[in-house]
Amino acid sequence: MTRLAIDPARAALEMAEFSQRMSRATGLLATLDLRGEDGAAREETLRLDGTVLWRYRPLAPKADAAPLVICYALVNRPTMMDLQPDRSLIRGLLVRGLDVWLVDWGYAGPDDRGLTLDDYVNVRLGKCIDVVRRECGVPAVSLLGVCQGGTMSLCHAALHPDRVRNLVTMVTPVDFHTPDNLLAKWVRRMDVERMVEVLGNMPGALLNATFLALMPYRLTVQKYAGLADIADDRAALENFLRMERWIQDSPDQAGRAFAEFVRWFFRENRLVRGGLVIGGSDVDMRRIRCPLLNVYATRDHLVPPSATRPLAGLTGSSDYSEFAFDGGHIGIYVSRRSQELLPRAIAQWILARPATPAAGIG
Amino acid sequence: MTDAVRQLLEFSQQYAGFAMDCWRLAAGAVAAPVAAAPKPGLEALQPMFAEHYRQLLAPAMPPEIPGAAAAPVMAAALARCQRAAQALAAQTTAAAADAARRLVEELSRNDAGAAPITTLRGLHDLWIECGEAAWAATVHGDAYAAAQAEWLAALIELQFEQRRLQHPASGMAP
Repeated sequence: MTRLAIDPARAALEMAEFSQRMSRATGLLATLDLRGEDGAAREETLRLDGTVLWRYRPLAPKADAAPLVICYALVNRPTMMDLQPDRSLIRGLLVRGLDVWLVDWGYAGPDDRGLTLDDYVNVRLGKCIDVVRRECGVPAVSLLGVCQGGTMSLCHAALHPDRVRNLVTMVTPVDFHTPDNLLAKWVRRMDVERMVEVLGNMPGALLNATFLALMPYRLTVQKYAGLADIADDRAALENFLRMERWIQDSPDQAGRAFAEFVRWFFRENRLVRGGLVIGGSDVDMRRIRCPLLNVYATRDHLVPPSATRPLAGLTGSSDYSEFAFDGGHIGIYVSRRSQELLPRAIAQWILARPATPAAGIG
Repeated sequence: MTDAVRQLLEFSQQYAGFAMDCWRLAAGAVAAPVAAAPKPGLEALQPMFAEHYRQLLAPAMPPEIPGAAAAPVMAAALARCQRAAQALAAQTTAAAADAARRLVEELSRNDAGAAPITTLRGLHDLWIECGEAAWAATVHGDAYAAAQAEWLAALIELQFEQRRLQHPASGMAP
């Protein structure tokens, strides 16, 4: 007895049809040109070497809320936040009246190999937030940290609690030693100090290969076989191409900062265990007393819920809440369902909190 | 873009060949008597998984420098790379064997929840499911993490020695 019940005649037809569909899909892909695509309208407001602070043009009357600064990860590019008009967390926030700013870390080059986490967390993020505070005339901003950018935002908020009115962490690793965190298991065994000593910066291509190796079949062959299903759907093929472009657009990581991140977070789990010092100051999570929203994805293979939910007990905030999205690490940005759910949840949460703190709060 | 299209067309061709091979081998494996050992199809399925893991995961070795292998430090670095690659290959081979076993087990199920596989695409999906499950079972272990770390470290040292051979003052990043 076997489940295998493939009829040879139907299999022959299936193979022919698959081949035709793949030919049509690749033919159409070859004609697509997305180079002229721009994201939501925005202006450069600050440039610190490769790091750029962008301010987005409003898409709705301004709501009574602190300006929102998005701190993306150093890994990969923030285009994922605004992939296309109908798949854009940023546009979803703009249409709800939020004043959105984005810290874009750019591409680390050979001269950046000596940059430290202090340079990113204190200096560059700090300067960006200072510009926003000055331009908007507010003492503190809402800070939204994405993935590794969330970890960095937690550090910034702990070091400079007066600058952060509200904090939103999104698919953010906090506890790096949970048993289901495969990436952390791998990374903490690697001698990254020696790697960056020899290579200078950590190659983005190596990071990409590591991410793909987490689920090597689903993230490669299954995805490409799925092209046959969308062979005649131009919009779906464009989506596919945008995603591929984002995946391949993987900046190198500034060597010293990368080694510090691996050592302090992946290997020594200092956010949870304590002892984290950045720029000569203790990163004491209990100093984070502002409202805190922790957004995570229930099926996240890169940052499993077990890695992010321990945040609940680490800070000094008395206003902590979670938003669980039923999806994965990438789906949370670009899936159709997330487009409605996520910007609404984040905007509602921010708008429910006053733009400026009452005396004695925060 | 041209490269990407070419690679997709190659993938399409490989898919066709793979699907047919997988169908033939899986059919042989599930048709073999329960007591038969080794099962011919099962044995043959293992390399299909192993090859796929290898294609997906094999990193590029640093380009060879003519005559460099003769230098003792280079020979040692190369030998370390080879040992590390073998240790990692042992892990992926074990995962491949597990994946093949899972596939045959899945195809042999006859409980109510096991729907018949009537298309090559359905077989391909099951192959992916088994490959992923076996992979996860292997790579969550300490042995895999250690093998992977040693392999990367060996590659880095090889690159370091190559640079030092070319630029004796330093093997560090330029």
